[in-house]
Amino acid sequence: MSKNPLYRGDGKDSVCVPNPKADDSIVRHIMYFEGPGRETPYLSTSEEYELAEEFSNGSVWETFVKIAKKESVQHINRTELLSLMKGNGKGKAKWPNAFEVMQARRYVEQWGEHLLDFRNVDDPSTVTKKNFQNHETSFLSELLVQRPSIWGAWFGCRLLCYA
Amino acid sequence: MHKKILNFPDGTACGSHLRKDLTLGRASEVSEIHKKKYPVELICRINDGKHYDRDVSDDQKDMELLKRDPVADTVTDYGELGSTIESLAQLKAMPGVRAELAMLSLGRGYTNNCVLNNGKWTSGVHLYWWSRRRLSHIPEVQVTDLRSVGATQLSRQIDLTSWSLVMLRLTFIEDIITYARCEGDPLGKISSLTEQAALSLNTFNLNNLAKWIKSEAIPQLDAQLSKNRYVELANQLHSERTGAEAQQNAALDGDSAGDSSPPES
Repeated sequence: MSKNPLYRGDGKDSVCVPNPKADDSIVRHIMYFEGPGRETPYLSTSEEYELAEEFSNGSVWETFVKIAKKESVQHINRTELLSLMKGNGKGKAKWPNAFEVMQARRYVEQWGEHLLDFRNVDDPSTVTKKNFQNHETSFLSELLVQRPSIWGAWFGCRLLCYA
Repeated sequence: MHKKILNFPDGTACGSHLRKDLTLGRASEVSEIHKKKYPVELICRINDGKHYDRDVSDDQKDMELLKRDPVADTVTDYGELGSTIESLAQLKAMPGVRAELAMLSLGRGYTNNCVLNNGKWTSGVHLYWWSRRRLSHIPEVQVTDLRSVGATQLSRQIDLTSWSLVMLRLTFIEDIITYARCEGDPLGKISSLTEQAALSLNTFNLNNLAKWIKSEAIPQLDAQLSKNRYVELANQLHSERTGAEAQQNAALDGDSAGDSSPPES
């Protein structure tokens, strides 16, 4: 079990609350098809503070696997995610479109992504509050994680609007 | 289409956005969801859906600065004075992955617009052929082409970026195949190349991808659209265009003759 913190970019005042009963497809979650406000039983986190900061909407939040597990939150680490996402995927990463599985795999690798799985959590609102600490208050600065790379994955230049 | 510089490109979107990491049909489906969240006419923050003036610019000074970069210069001219295909041809001739990325992304939009406006799949045939010719070449991504290295080593990020660009070539070609299928053209018989690639290759190894393209993808493409057939289609397009221009000129001549004819007494 990793002793290193996991970071999440999210709102200034709170981390968004997952829905344990929502569709639990991992590829659907990572590919962010439904955009902001979508229902998901997972929270994306990153190993890297700077990467989480890129997705921040006001704050970067921090948690530890040990703390999460105490509250019945499961941790799906990056290595496990990568191993699940080959071909049409395995387990909860099974998906009818192999190309989308591959794209999701690329994002996991690129963003050092780990998932926190709330499917077995009864009170996700309380657990989310207990789990995450604002990095600004716990350390020095702030962060956030979301998934802009998918919407605006245009490397190189600022030309999105011309398409 | 917005003609603005994005100051916060990774964090903003609008209702017209078409994802480049999805095939045509899937990108269209997701775009419908996207349109419900973001207005078409405004560029908004992805996170909160709000528009901030500081996120965009159409200031002339900013545009002039952008034009110092050859790729950006061509892209900012895109669509001006009906020069869309000329801009794409300029991008095709430029070295570097940024130019290719711009050509493929704009090319997807160009072909989609043509087809939506009752054009034929062949409106993208030149772009198809240009992409087909470079399909198996491994792109030479430079460090300066990257905005960040993410959670990976630099060399790995370059591999992931190269993979992404090669898959965008395949995605563009697949767009054309999809349009051809809708018109009953034999090119449309080819099944999803991105799917075939993802099922055949489990890693982001560029050499393996290039080998797969040479041995599997290109033979399928060339069996339906050989160079000879491409030349025929190109000539046909040229004739149609020349014919349309001649008709237009004749109509204009007729109008001006009418204008100059003396009034009947």
